[in-house]
Amino acid sequence: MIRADHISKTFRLYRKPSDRLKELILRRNYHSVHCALHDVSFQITDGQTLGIIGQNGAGKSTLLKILTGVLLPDTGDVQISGRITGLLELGTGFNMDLTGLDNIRANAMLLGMTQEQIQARRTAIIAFAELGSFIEEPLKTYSSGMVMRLAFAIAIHADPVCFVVDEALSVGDAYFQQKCMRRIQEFRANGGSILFVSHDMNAVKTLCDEALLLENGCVIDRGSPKAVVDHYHAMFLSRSHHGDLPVAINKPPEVIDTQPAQSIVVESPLVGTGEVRLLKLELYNAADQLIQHLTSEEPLRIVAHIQTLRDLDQPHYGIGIRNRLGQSVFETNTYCMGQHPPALVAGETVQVIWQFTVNLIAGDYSITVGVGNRPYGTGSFSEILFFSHDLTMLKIETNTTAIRYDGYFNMHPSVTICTPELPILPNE
Amino acid sequence: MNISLLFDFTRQDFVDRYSGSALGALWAFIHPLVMIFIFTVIFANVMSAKLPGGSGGNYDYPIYLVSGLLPWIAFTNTITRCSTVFLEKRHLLNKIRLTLAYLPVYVVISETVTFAIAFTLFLGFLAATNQLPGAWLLFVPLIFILQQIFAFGLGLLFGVLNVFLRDVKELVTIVLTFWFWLTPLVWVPAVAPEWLQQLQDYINPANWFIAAYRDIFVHHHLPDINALSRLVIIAHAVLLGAWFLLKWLEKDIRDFL
Amino acid sequence: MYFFLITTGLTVVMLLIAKWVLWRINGSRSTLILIALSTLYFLVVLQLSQFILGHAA
Repeated sequence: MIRADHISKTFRLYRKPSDRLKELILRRNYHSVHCALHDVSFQITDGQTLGIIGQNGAGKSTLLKILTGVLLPDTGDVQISGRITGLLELGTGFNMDLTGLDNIRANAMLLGMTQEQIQARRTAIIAFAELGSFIEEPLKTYSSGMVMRLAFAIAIHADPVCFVVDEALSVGDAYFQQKCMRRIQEFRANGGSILFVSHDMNAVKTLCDEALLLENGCVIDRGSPKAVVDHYHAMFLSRSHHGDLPVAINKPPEVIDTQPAQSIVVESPLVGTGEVRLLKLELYNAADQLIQHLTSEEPLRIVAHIQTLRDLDQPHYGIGIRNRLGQSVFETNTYCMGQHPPALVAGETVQVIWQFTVNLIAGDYSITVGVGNRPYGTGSFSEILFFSHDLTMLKIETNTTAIRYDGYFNMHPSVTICTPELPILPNE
Repeated sequence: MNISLLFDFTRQDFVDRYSGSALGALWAFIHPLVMIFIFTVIFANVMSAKLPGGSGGNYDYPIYLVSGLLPWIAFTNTITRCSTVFLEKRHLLNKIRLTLAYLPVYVVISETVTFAIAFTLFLGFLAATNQLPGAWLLFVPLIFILQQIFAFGLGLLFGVLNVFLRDVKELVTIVLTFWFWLTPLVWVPAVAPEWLQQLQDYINPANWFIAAYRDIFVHHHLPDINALSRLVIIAHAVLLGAWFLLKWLEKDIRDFL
Repeated sequence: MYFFLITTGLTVVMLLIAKWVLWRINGSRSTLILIALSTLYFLVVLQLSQFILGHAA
C-alpha cells in the first residue's frame, strides 16, 4: 500500500549552484521559486492501479521521484510498505561494459535485494528476459529493446509492492510489451499496486481503477479514469482556443444516468465559452421515432438544436460516438468532411442533422457534440465554443440478421472461396 | 543501503579501474612495488641518504619515507575521491534511493584495500631486510582506521560543498599539495625551524598519525598517545560536522543532482 | 599481547553494540550514536594501551 499525504515540493531555482552557498553565508535570497507539487494526496491500496496523467511539466516525474525517495518533499509524508520499482530505473545501475548476468546482480543489489534473493530470482529473471546467449555478452552489444527487457525482468522480480509503468515500456517490441502487460496483470492479481504514468489515454481508461490529473503541480481532478481523461482532453481543447472570451471547463457529474431523458438540454458544456448553447439533442430511428435503443445495422439520425449568442463567420459542427470505456468509436466534423456551413448571426438557431448507418457491435454508446469556429490545419479550431461528451446514451442491440462478429463494428466483409486452376506454391 | 551493496560498489570500483587492461588487478601490486623499489634502491644505495638521528642503517631513510607516504597516499586519495563521489554517482542518485552519507564509504573501503596491498608489500620488504618493528605493528590498523575516519569526515564535507561549488574539487587538490609539503613526509622534522616543529604538534592532525607510523616503523616504540587522542577528537568532530552539514543540505543536494 | 587482547575484545564489543544500534534505532539518531561510540572506543583503547604498554616498557 502506498499513501501520500499533502505532499508539496518547491524547487528553488538558482542561476548557479554556488548561489545556494552564497545564500547560506550572506543570508540573502538568490533564488526564484518554482512550485512543482502542491498539496498532493492519494492512496493506492493493494491490487489497485492508479493512473497519473498530465501534460509535460505538470509534476508527474517530480511526484515519482518523491515516491521512490530520490527527492525529499518540503512538506507532507509518504508511506510505502515496501519498495517501488519500475522502468524508470531503466539503464541506471547498468554498466555497459559488464555482461547481462553481472548487471542482473548489480542492478538487483541497487534495488535493495539481498544476495540470497538475487540467487533465488536469477533463473526467473534470465528466463523472463529471453535474451538467449546475449545474457553472457556485455551490455554495449544490446539493442535498446534488449536493455529494456533486462531492466523490466529485474524490476518485476524484485518483489516490489508497487510497480511504475511508464512510457519506457514502449521501447520493447509488441511481443514483449504483451508479455510485460500479462506479467503486470499477474502482479496486480497477486496484490501488487500499479502506478500508471502514460500519455496513452485509452490505456489509462482500460487499465486503471482510478486516475489523477495533475496540472501545474496540483491535483485538479481525481476519480474514475473515464471522467478524468475527459477532463484532460477538455483542457487540451481549451488550450487550442484563441477566441476573445475564455473557455470554461465544467467537470461533468460523476454519476452517469443509465436512463437518460429523451432529449437533453445542456447548460454548461465540458468545454466552452458559453456563446453557443445546445438546446436539444435527439436521436431518431428510420421511422422518425425518438429512441434510446437501436438495433445494429439500422439507420440513425442525430438532431442537434444549436443556438449561437454571437456572430460566427465559419462555424463547424462535430459529432462523436464513444463506447462504454470512453474510447472514441467514430468522430468527425463538418470541416473534416469538406463542408462549408453557412455563417450565423447572434441569436440564430440551427438544426444539425447527422445520418448514419449504425453498424456497431452491441453495447452502450454515448454521443459527443462540438461546435467550433474558424478551422485550421487538419481539424483544429481557433475558437472552441462548445464541446461536451456523454450528452445522451444510445444502446445498440445485436442484429440477428447480420453476421456474427467481434471487435468494434461490422465492416461488411465479403469472402470468396474458389479452387485455383494452377497449383499455388507457398510463399518463400 | 546495505553492506553487500557497499562491497559491490568497492568491487566494481576495482573492476572499473583495471577493466580492459591486460594485467588487470595486478596493477594494484605493481604501483606500490615500483614506489618501494625506487625509494629503497635510489635513496639507500644510489644516493645513500642518511636519516639524522636514525640508527644509521642503510634503509633508515627509505623506511621513513615509505612509512609516511603509503598512509598519506591513502589519506589524500580518500579525500579527493570522496569529494567528487556525489557528482560521479549522480546517475544513480537521480533514480534510486541511496543514503547519501553512506555512499562515500565505498571510497574509504576501496582505498583501504589499496593501502592493505601496498602495506603488505612494504611488510615483505621489512621482513626481507630484517627491520620488522615487532608487536608494535598491532597499532597500525588502529591508527589507519582513525586516519580513514578523519579522511572520510573531510571527504564528506568537501563532497557536500562540491555539489554546490565545483571549484571545491580543485581547491582540495591544491590544499592537499600544500599540506603534503607542510607535513614532514619527505623532510625530517629536525631540519625545520623550531617554531614549525612545534606548530606540527599543535595544529597539524596529519602529522599526528604520520608521526605515529614513524614511531612504530623507524623508532620501534609506542606512538604518542596524547597526539592520537587529539586525532580521535578532531576526526570525529569533523565527521560529525560534515554529517550535520549533509543532513542540513540533503534536500538541496538531491535537488541539484 | 595484552594490547592485542584488549583491542580485539573491545572491537567485538563495539561491533555488537553498533549492530544493535543499527538494528534497534534507525535514521539520524543511529548515526549520531555510532559516531559517539567510535570516539569512545578509540579513546578507551588508546588510554588503556598507554597504561598497559607504558608500564610494560
